[in-house]
Amino acid sequence: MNITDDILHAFVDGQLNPKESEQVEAYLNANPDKAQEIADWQLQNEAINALYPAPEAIAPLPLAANRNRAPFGAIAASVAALAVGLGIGWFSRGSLERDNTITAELIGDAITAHAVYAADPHRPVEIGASEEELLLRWLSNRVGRPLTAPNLSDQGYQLVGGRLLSVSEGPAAQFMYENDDGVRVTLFAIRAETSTLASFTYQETDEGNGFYWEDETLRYAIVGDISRDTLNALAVQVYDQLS
Amino acid sequence: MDPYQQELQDCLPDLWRYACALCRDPDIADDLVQDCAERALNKRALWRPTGPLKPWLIKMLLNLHRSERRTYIRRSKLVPVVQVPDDAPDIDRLSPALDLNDTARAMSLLPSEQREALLTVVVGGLSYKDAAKALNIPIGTLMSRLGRARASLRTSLEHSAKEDTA
Repeated sequence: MNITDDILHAFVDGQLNPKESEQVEAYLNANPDKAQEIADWQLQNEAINALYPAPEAIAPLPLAANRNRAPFGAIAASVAALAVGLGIGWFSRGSLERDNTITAELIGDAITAHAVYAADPHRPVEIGASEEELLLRWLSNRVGRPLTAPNLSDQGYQLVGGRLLSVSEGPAAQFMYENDDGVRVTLFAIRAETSTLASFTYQETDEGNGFYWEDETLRYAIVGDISRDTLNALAVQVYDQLS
Repeated sequence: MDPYQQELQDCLPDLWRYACALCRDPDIADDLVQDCAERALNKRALWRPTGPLKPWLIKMLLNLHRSERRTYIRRSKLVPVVQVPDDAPDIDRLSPALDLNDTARAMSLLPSEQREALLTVVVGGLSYKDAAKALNIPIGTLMSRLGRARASLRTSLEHSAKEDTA
């Protein structure tokens, strides 16, 4: 085995198997200068770990959080219980009392915009996928956050293009995708004003179904007149690519 | 308690240590871990059980830390340097030359990208592969940041050791 610096780091961080470690030890015995440096690295690790000791007590997670699609209040309550149980001075924050009506409004806006534009046979988007770079630059500017159009070709959906929407919360981006059967789904994105709790919400209406979630900078909804499971798979794909 | 919750709970102490190391303020660390646990509980529908939960949690916490940091900069809040714990191992046991206060100071002098790389591996306890993924950088970049961080720490700590004996 060639003893590189990477191997030496892995030795210090306990990421080698016993046989490799033996080889490194033999190498260090033969190279005292290097051995001194590695001993220093090990001391650094010890000191860093000593600087940040574990919290005093950890209580069990509440079983109430077990419910997959528990209402928001129930999750908040169970997490609050968890916070108290941890005994490291957590306190309830404003994010727990977040107003669900904003979420409902945004999903409503996303579904309405989907119904209006996805049904348009001639002009579904303002800028087409052939000018993706321009599209992203423009929408990122207007929405005020860097945007990317996720690749959904694994699910059989190709980017058609996108447009700017105006909704009650401000400017929003809409990306449209289409599969070989002509089925369209849209991804809706609007800036998040504060870094709040990321809930994952599903809503069904006559006009379409939507999944809604948030990350640190943006709030998203993916909408389509397709089954919940298919939409869920798309949402997971988008989430994986954007997080 | 189901396996997901069990795993989440088992990760909490390390997650808290990692948060504390990142933001150097136990109160903010509390908030970060709380946010992270909330998200993990809410996003469990998105979690595909293909591997350990910890790298995902560490990544989420790091992202929260980065966005929080921006928030705190906007609020111009002063972030105190974490206090050296009372029950820290005896300095003699570590090395006469290595004082925890010196280590804390040397760590605070590192560029944040190097500090994050070091903490993700040492305190977060992730493999290099998972750490690179959590930091969203290639593994080669992670290794060079680790190398630079350790070299800088060595230089600063040697320097402060000399000052002590002088």
